[in-house]
Amino acid sequence: MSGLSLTYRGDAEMMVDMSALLPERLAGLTADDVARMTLPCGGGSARLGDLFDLSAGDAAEGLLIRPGGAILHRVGAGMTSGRILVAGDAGNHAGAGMAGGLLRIDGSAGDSLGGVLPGLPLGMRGGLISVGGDAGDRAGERMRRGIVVVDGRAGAYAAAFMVAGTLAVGGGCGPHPGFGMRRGTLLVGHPQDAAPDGFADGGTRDWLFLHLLRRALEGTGSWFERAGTTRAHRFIGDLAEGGRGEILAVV
Amino acid sequence: MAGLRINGVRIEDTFAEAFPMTYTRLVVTADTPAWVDAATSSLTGFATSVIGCGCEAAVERLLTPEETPDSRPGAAVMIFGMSTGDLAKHVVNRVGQCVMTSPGSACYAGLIDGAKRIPLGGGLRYFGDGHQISKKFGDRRFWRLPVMDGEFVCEDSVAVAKGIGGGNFLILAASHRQCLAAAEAAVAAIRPLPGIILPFPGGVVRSGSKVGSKYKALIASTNTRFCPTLRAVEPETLLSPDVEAVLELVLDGTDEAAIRTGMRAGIAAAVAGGTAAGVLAITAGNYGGKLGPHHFHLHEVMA
Repeated sequence: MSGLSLTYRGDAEMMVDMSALLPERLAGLTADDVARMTLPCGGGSARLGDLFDLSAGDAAEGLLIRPGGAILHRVGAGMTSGRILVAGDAGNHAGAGMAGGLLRIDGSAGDSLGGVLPGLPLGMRGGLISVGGDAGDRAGERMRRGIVVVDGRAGAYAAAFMVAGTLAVGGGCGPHPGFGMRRGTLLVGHPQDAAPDGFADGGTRDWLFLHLLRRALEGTGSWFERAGTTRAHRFIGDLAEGGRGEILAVV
Repeated sequence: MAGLRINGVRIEDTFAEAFPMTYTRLVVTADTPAWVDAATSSLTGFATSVIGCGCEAAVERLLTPEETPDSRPGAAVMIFGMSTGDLAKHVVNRVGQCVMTSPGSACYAGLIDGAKRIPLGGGLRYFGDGHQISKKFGDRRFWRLPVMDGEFVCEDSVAVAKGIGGGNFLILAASHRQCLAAAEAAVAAIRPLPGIILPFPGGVVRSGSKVGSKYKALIASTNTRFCPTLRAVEPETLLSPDVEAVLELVLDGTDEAAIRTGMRAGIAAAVAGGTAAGVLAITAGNYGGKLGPHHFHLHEVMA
């Protein structure tokens, strides 16, 4: 990927808030400009240039982040356009509140992937997040629009209180998937025999709109792009919230 | 150029007069090509002339599964109307009554980009009675409406654009059979071309019209100057004694270039057999330049 690349070279296990590093904000800045930015980290703050090695390049072309041993929270949080590629793992709130653009995480993501930032009413509002590994708890929480695709597993409360949008989890979910879900789609890559709590069994069939989802995921290399079927078992719910959401378990 | 002949067939020194229209393009898919045909035949039925039908529509071309959004067989359908509002009314009615009702069908925008848009699923979604589901993938919004065979998937809206209606040419032949054969050849030559439709049955019109009538209630009536059976009593007849039948092809297209390309291909195919095949002349319909700003002079088209 051309563009600006950041390679972490600070202390291992350092937690860094990356929410200021969005392609739309960094567009047109030189690597020196970016290096002078201050990021919250480890209970304090530090100049970005002291934490990362920067390549020359414009973030408008894309932002490549190599996390090394750091725990990078809020990568792409609030992002509205552009591309971010994380060549490794991301911390919590990756893509939280995201409204557009592409966030690709080669490794795993922490909690609240595409979810909601503290104090805000809604989670992700648009764009595409693709995760090659697993996701933590509350992935897609209060999500309003957009697509999150996780090749591995998601933790507890996946798509909790989802308002709309699509969360596709290839490896299955932890406890309470779709808890409080109002609308939207939670697509899981494995058959599910019993309806989750709050959901009604809607039967198995081929779902035409999943072809459209697959087209939207072209180029991501994600599990559903590779899946050869659009046949899925539908569970309708959360009935406590009107029952207009759905969990689709690929069969 | 006054005496232009191709394969001995006289090309009249006249022009086809066409007028601006608004058009859109839909992509209709189904489980099999047969059900695509069922849906599109219904969708484009009774859509020959904007005068009597409100819109003009036909299949532009068939689509392979690789070309459609849901990887199924499909067809691109173009629908022309006189205004955006008029087109919107007819499109949503036709998709609702003819595509949504057809087993396994889905309907997508074939014109995706454009500031002017008309509703598709956005107007039909209420049929879902509260159970409709919106899905937005990228910049495109789709509606999933629960129906008796599963779900009807329909794009939220489709863009419209300015096009041209009424491109035409007429084939004058020594017999009805030969005239029809020439018209069929012309249709076969035009149908593969992009951006053009032939909205009349089989792509051919046999009842060309003139403006006005002796009856006040009618705005159009039979084109007496091209009716061979009236030749002896029609003072303004344009038919020589050896003409037994006339057939017309009407083309609607995206722009002048598309119409011109279609007319050229169609005329070339119609006269390919020459006078030996009974084709005597090619002419075109116009209203003296009063109807529309787009004039397709046959000699220029065939130059």
